[in-house]
Amino acid sequence: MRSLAEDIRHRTDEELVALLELRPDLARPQPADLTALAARASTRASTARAVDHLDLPHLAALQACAITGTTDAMAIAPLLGMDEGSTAALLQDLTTAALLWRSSEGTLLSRTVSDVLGPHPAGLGPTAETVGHSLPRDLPGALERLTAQERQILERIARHGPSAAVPADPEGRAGQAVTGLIDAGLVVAPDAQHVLLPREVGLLVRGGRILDPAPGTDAASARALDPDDADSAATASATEVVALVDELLDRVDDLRPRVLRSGGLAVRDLRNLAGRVDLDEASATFLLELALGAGLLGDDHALEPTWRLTTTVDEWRALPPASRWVGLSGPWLRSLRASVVPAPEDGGRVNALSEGLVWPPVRALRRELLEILADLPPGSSPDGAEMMERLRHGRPRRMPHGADEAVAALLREGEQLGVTGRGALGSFGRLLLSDEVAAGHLLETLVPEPVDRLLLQADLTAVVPGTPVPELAALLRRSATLESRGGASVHRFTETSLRSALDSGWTADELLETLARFSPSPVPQPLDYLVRDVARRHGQLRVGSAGSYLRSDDSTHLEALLTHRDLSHLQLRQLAPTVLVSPVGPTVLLESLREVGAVPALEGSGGVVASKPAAPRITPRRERPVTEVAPEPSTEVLARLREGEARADKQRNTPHDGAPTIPALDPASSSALLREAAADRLPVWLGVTDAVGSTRRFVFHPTTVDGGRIIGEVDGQPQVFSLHRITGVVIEG
Amino acid sequence: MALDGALIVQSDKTLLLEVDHERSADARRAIAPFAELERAPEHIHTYRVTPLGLWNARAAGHDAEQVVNALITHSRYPVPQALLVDIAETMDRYGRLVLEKDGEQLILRTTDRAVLTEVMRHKKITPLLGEMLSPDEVVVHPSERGTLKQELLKVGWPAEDRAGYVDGEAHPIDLLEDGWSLRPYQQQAVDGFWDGGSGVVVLPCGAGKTLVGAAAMAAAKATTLILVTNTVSARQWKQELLQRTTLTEEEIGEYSGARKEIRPVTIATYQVLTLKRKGIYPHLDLLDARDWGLVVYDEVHLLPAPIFRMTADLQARRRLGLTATLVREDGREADVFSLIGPKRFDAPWKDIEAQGYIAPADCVEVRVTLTDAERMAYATAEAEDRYRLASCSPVKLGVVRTIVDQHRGEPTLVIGQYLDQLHELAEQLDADLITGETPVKQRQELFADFREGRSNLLVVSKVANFSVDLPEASVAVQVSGTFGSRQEEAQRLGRVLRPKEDGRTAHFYTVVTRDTVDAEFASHRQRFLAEQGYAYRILDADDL
Repeated sequence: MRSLAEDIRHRTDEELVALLELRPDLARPQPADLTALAARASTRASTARAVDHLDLPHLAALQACAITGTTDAMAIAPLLGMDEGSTAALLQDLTTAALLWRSSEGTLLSRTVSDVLGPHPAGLGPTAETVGHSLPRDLPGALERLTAQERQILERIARHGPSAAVPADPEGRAGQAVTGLIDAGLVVAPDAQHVLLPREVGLLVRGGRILDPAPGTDAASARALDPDDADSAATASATEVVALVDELLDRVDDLRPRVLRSGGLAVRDLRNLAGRVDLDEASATFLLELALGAGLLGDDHALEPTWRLTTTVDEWRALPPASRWVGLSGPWLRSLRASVVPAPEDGGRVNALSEGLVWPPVRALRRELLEILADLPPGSSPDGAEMMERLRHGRPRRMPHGADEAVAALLREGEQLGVTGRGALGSFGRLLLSDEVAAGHLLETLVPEPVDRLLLQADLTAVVPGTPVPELAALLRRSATLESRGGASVHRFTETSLRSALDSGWTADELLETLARFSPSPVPQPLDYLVRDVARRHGQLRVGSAGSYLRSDDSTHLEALLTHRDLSHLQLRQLAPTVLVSPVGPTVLLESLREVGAVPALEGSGGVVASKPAAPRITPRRERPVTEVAPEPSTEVLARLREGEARADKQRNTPHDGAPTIPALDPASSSALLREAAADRLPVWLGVTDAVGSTRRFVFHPTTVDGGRIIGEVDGQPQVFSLHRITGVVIEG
Repeated sequence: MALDGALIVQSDKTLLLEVDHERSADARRAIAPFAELERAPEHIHTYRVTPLGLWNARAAGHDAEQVVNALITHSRYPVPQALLVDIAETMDRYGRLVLEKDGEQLILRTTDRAVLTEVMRHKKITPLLGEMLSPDEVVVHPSERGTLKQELLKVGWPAEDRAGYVDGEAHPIDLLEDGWSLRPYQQQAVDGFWDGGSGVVVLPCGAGKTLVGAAAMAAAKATTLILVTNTVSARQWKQELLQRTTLTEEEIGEYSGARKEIRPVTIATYQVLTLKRKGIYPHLDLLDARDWGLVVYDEVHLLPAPIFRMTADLQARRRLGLTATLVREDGREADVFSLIGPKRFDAPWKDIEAQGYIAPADCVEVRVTLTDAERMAYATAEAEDRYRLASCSPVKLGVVRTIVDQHRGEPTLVIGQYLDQLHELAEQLDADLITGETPVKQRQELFADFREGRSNLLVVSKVANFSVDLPEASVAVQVSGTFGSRQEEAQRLGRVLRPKEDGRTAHFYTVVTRDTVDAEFASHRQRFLAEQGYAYRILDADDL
């Protein structure tokens, strides 16, 4: 087999299915044929993506192939510290993913993969021979003779890539150590500013292997809890988070914080909200993000936009606690938003609820963290460092900048949300990954039954010993203020809270009756008194609006106007014997009264008689000048169209020059094929579109593909083409 | 975890105890060492877990595991993990620093060098410390023992004081238990105090705090300095000690404005100690006048700030604080903890009432309505005059008369704040009036008359708030008070809580003016009553 394309064409259906599953990007959009598929598989973008998704053992195996230049399991196994069988399995996986391909001479590393792995795979430098350096004969001995400082620096270089900058101060401790290393012949100094670690030394320092043992393979590494303990802790957090979001929503409703121009919540408002629910800012941000994710909170898009509760809130509140939890945690699992994002470069701060918290890597990170936990035995509770290590093992090339903080934040969020309990995945958290509804059902069996019992006390507090049923929660939300939450909730009745209950339409009797219905003991006398006392004063002062008023010292006259049939459209209403109001404006009132023969005078805002206002003047309409464009004579347009048609015809009729049919390829695939051809020094048939749009086909000998340009020869003449002009490529032969 | 536990743990670190639950007594016992009882209304008692409380528990020998276990055992719902971690961490802070005696030297020793380094760098603590003996030990000047403990508590690293106490000058004191004996809770209080070394005993008024003091003296058998709020109270202490202990008249001295006696047992007033002349406290020498073995502070919640400073120097002596409530209106509870000592005993009022040691009380708030003219005057009054205007409303006079008439024959106190109002009331009700201006002799005569039933109505001013032992007052009518002061309310209720010989219910009336600041302050004070478990009723004046 001569190329990856041929390898792929000869693969079985199963192998191809496996390939497409490993590298889903190959099928999107669907390529025309297997050649196009192979072409796409060898593009740099797709290869990089495939390599990025490898876990540490596979990546190391691939790197080992690149380092050793073979794909022989026996040669590679020692580098990985594995036996031959496991190594062969890794290599087989890589072949399936088309990162290695089967040629007639055996399995080969594709060139693009080498490019993607970079010049120093696994951070190992070139061999001493390549850089023309001779190593000390007794290498292990030379290592042993190093000072602690030298050893430390050597290990650092070995771990973080083969070259390092020479310290600016050669007399400093680090500077001296580097000089010592150069003198010992362990590092090479290609120039005055850098040192390079030869491959042999790097490998030796790393113990002869490029793959560290997998984390947690020793059983004792992860702390283990009784899964029931984890569940009960997770259940407690889950109940708590639901109650907290509920309370926070109330606070948002009270505060109606404004939406910043940048779209977030002002820091001051966040502090205020956090203070009201007795939380730190980070937790408050997380809860607000949960609410936003669940669609409970939104920007009202008004002229002065504020954060408001959405219509979903009432439905959500009516659900049982477990379903409410699913409503919060499901969107969390899928969200592209993070409550902690890497600090912006300008050092500013990212506001809660703003677009700045959208951080796409977070979704994959979150899911993978939970999957790592799910793969561990139930009850395992690894600490943050171990989780980070496991994560790195699974996705060595995809650790985003700031991953440490993000992972710590995600683990904290999982704990707050009750997906994990004391660091271990709870049973319903585990289920959440696969089936949200089932997770909800499971949680429902764990959370205590909501209670419909209210203990009313003489100190004007009410205690619900558990999670209240929605009806009770709604009653208390409207008539009392929350004083303490947790397993139970403590509410206090105050004048203000009762007044707001009355404002929302309750009467004192209804309120007392409803309270009594939930309370096993009679309503305490002081509470009863307070409710009635507030009700007595409620509505003593009344506020309303009117379009205009009519006043006169002659109450009989007003009485007459009030009953006048022709004035009924004014909807006059009597506020006091000498004052009537109407929803219509003063001018209409004035006119209508004159029509029935009354002689009213208009009062200005100061209460003095004002002259009838002149109708306000308006600005005249401004005409917009119209730009005139003379139409082109139709004959000319037609002529051009005919010309184009003829040209196309001519092109269609160009006799066939023996060229093969060149399939249309996308630029990435063309570039990949051209690179391959250039490397193998093969001629290709090239389809190129010229400046006027017609396509030429000819045999081309590519030499370089670089920066969107293809350099090569046509009939012995050097030629340069832009990649975007290439319609397709067929490798000759 | 029992899903039917009596306790519910809240995330704000309060614990709710369902009183009617079958295992509530167990749960109460389990959490009492570390949680402060905050409210005790009828159904649910609220305890609060505070760092002070947790350190109290550590001081009493409980460890974090016991605390966590108590919560997990009795909690109805899973306890938030964060709370348990927080408790363990807080308790772990206690005892990292230990004050110890090494020969004659006082030494601050640590088990955690980082903590010692941290506190030593603190600018208020540095001057209190002397030479470093080793990386883990530093010398403390003996006179700074109290101040150091106070400052360490402020920075959150309370020191365990193992430096012990001086025995003081021995003096034989015994309880004279003829025909009476210490009540069980009094005994528990004394034991709690004695085992802990120093500390505060919280008991409701009328529950016999003086006896706890006497019993503590009998336990110490040493010369004792008793600090009380005023002269009247001093005389009462003396009387009680003469009656209940083997002490004789010659052994008890009074150190007050009038007399300056220093005897094996000396009773001094806060006032005389805090008297300042030309920038110095001339009577401060009293504290060093004898080698006191015990210092008793009556009404700790009223302890004036200068006494705190003096107490800082008394750390080597055993200290007993007595109070009805640890609530200090000035919020200096932490100073009480670090200077006098942790709370050693506390019991809900209702529990003691249930045992029959204090009288059951019926608390009623009577609301009067201002006349229209008064309402107008009130509405236009300056903010600072409003309370006076509202609480001195003449409509109250009639209501007080009605109440007094209803309880004709029962010993009744009418208590108020404003002298004009009290004079008028005394005149209208034809009763004797006691104010701060009444000479002590006349005061005592009037009290004696009242006690022996020759009169059963007294109008008293603020002097009645503290330590005035009026036996068998069974009705108290409060017409005005010091704004919203909760401890005043506690004191006044205490006036009627002494158990009645015939087991009669005590009545406690508060007359307030509707829709004014008077009612607002009243509601603040009543909250305290309700939280102590005294359900009160609100009546309109017309319904009386």
